[in-house]
Amino acid sequence: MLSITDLHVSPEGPEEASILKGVSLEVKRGEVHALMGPNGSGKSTLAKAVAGHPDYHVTKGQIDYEVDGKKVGLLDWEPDERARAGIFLGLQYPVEIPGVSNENFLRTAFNEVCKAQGLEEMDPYDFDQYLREKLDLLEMDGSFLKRSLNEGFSGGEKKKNEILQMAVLAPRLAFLDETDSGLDIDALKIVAKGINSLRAQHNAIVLVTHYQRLLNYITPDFVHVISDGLIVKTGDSSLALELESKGYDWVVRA
Amino acid sequence: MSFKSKVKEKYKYGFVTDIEMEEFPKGLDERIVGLISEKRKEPTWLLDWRLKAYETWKKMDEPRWAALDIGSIDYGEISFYARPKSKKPKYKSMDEVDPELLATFDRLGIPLLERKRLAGVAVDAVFDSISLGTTHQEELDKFGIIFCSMAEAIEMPPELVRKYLGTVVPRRDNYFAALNSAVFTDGSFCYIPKGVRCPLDLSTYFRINAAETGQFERTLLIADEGSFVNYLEGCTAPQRDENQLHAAVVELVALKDATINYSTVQNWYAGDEKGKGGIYNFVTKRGHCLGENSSISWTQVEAGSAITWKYPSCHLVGENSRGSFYSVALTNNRMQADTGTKMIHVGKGTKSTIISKGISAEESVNSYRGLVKVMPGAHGAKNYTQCDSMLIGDRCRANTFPSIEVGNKTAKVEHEASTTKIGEDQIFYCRSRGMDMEKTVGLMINGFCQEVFKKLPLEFSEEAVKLLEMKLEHSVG
Amino acid sequence: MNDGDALEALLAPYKALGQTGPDSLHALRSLGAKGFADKGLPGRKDEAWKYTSLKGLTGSYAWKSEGERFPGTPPVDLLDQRIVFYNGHWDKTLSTLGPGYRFFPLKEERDFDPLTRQLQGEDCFTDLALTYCREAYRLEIEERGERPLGIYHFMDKNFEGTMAHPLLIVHAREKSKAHLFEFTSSTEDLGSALYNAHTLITLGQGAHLDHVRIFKSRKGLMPFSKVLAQIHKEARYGNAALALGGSFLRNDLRVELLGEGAHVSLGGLYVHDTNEDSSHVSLIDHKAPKTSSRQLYKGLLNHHSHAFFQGTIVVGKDQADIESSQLNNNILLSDTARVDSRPVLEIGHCDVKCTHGTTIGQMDGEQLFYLRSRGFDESKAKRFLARGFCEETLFPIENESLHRLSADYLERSILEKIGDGEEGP
Repeated sequence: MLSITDLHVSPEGPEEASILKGVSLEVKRGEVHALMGPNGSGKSTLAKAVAGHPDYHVTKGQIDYEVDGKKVGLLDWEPDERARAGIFLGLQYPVEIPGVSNENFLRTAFNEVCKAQGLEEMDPYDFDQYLREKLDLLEMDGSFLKRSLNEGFSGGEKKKNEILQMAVLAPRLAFLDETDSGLDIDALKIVAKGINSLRAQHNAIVLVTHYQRLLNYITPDFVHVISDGLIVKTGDSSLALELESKGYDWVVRA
Repeated sequence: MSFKSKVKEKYKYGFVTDIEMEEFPKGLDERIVGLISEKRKEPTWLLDWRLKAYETWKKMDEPRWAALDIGSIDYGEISFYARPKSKKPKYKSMDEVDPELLATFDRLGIPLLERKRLAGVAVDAVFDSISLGTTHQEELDKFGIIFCSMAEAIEMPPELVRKYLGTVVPRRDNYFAALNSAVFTDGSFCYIPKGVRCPLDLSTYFRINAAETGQFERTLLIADEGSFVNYLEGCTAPQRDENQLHAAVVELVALKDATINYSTVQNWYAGDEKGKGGIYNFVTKRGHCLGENSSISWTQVEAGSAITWKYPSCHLVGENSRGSFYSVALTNNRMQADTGTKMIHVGKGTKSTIISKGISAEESVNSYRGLVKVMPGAHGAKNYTQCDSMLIGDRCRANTFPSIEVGNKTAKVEHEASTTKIGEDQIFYCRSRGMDMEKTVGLMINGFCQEVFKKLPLEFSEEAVKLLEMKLEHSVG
Repeated sequence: MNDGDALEALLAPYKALGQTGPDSLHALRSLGAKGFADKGLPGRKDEAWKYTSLKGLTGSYAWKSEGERFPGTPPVDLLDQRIVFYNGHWDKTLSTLGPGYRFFPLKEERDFDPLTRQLQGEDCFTDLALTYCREAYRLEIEERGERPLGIYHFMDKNFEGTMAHPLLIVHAREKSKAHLFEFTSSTEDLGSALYNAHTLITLGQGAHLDHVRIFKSRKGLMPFSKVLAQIHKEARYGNAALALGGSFLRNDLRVELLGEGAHVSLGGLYVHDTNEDSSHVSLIDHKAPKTSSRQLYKGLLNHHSHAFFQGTIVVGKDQADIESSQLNNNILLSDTARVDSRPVLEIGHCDVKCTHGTTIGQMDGEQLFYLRSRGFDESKAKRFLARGFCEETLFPIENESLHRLSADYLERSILEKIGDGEEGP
């Protein structure tokens, strides 16, 4: 579904030093990949580049994405075009947008995706029902819906909100950037449950994480280690356990 | 918590030096201007320049808009020129200076004699209206750095004074600038050549001694391309009952890639607790960041003077140039301060930072007045301003009057201000850990002013903390 | 015309009319005229007027002492409880009030005495209003109402070349509650016209008043709106002023917090397009301990528009335990947009928590990206953010139906103005 070839990415502009120095990655339908690495290795950068964040410039390489059986070069697409084509980025630091209610935001985003797929938009009543189901899945109550987007949310609550959005928008490819950071054990289990329930044959998930513990609850098909802007090792879920006991130095030095 | 109302003002610089002085008759007219110029053996162009300034001054009105309560200044009662009597109008070396004068500076803790100097500080001392001479001449000469009194600089080739004087602060800029331009007697001049990083911190100490005189010094500092200099200015004056006027002008010019860091610790006599006496401090300080990537930084600790009126400013002309203003202003007893800064963004990518900390106690009034102006051509300009006030007691006032004028859509301007008090809980916590009142106040002040103190050269920052502690010790608790 | 001429011209109708009028207010008017002549029009040196351009003030305006019936169709749906002013005069026929309110004109000098004292020392435009005062209007709020009450100021082509100085006094009784939707609008371009409105508000102990003021006029009208509010013990006043169109607006608010527990929330918004301009000046004076205030003013400025914000917070020497915050956020959408902001603090007591801030910048890139990563296209994302940005200024309005009414109107106005988001040349 997703092919990343020799990707070079630098922040702010082509003259700045590259964070990603030639990353290549293949993600097929039905797969769950974990992307792990020490701080500053470029994990978040990769996620943001796939989503099309304007602060990250691709200086070399390609990203191909399968849409309706055809391969398209993503780099020419705007971030919202990518989102409407089913790409979802769960942010590491979700922003607060005062004045925009959670509810309104979710419904509008959902309807944009519907429109793009040629489906009919949902009216507020039907959407409310739809939303309730997803809230139950994540064991969240709806009291936050009327409040402004992420305003006053704790770190953990913001992450849960990201997964709620993922549940509502049902993307085909989801990059979840450090979704586990800031969560206590109970919240982690709930979030993992939510992610697991969204796993399906027709979609794919890439979990960007520093620690292994999320992977106790979500078993990935592939684990990649990224260090200093390059993927240095790929393995299956047992690689994550090795990293847990040996640390990153072991892989990086090799 | 009750606040003690009695404050013992321990101004340790309040002594008077006994020395024979030569003074002009009081008052100001063209004749006095001419006499000043003649006494100093100035070239004709400068006399003309002064006279034009005098004409301008006569047509202007004293400013009344600041939130200050100023008794009127009787210019007829001030003598505009005072200097220690001596055979020569200029001193060629420290050895020629009257030992009594040198002793004065020693008492002030200021090193004038080569062998007693603080390592790494070249000092130009100004006693009343005259510069007494500068230390470290030879060392500076090696680098081609010119650091001398204004009087000497005027005659030097390549006529830098003539080229730059009044270009940063024009004569008609304001009332006190016009006055200063007419009657300035001396001050410091500094030129750092291309690519030179000045090896010593340069410093000027001002001391007003003679009674009923005004001090009108003029400083001009030019940093040529790629140069760097740290400049320190310190001030003191004796304890007197009448008010004395200090109207100085400082002009800074930074060319491409040059950096000037100008720090001031001002401890003029502030008047007694009833508000009698004290210095009127009206200063115009401005820097032009003319060249690309140039940088001018103003750091000040104001703890004295009965009335302070000064707005060190930066005109950010060169692309990507930077201006900053870090200030701690302390007012006590009946002091009044109206101080702040102006940052004018003209060129692209210019940046400015303003951190202003005001501490007011007793019945004083402490006002911040600032202007951040982004001209239409200043694409990508950025400003960050933080003004914090700490009030001690319930009889003082803190005012903030900022003006922000933006004419470019890509600019980013952020201004924040807050007021706080010294928390009773915080005081109790410190005391319950064994710190006495003085230490506690010191700690709180230090914490409040950290960001500004960090910008001062080390000796200065230690001096600043001690100065503030001393000023406040009877105001809290 | 120069200032001196403008002054003469503004006083001309007053002089022409002499002492006529079936009332006892001659003394009041002459006091006003003298004050106006003494003070003169504000100049550039006047800090509070430096950024407000008065060049649209032509000086020569006619003045009508009587009102007429509003002949046209109101530009907005009228609420079922309302007071309507047409071209500056009360239109009895269109106004209707439910129980719990009393509304009546004041024409006798004895009714004006406390009013005069309150208005002394104000600026020249208040003196001008007194100069032309034939009557004032008093609204008594007696109970705790839940339904909003509309106050409409409509002007049409007949207002061209004239001036009006309506004076409204609102008195909210102890523990009363009301929600006002005030709407000032000229439905057509007017060559020049001056609308100098004053509202004096008193909130009795424990009273609660929500007050939305919307200004949406076409070219030529110069509306001045001054609100003087006195908030007593435990009373709460929420005022949201939205400047959504017009070449000029001077919005002046002075609030005095007079008793412990008094609180005021002020929201302000200016959304401007080509050649639009407004000035928002507020002063909150904490005259009693344990009082609080909160202000949020925001601006969205497009081509060739300008706005001025000045917010002053004053805390007197004997006022302890004060909390006050003020924020002014501005987004400039065009190279030809300009904004001037002066957040002012005058604090005389140490036991206060006061903060203020101003920001000027662009739409938040991170917020924009967040919405786009959820499928919003660029212009939709910008409109969404613009709406969220603007709606926050309605925070002082606690009454849900008034809030909704205002938010809906706001949304429609923004869509008109910000439309496709992307700026032109």
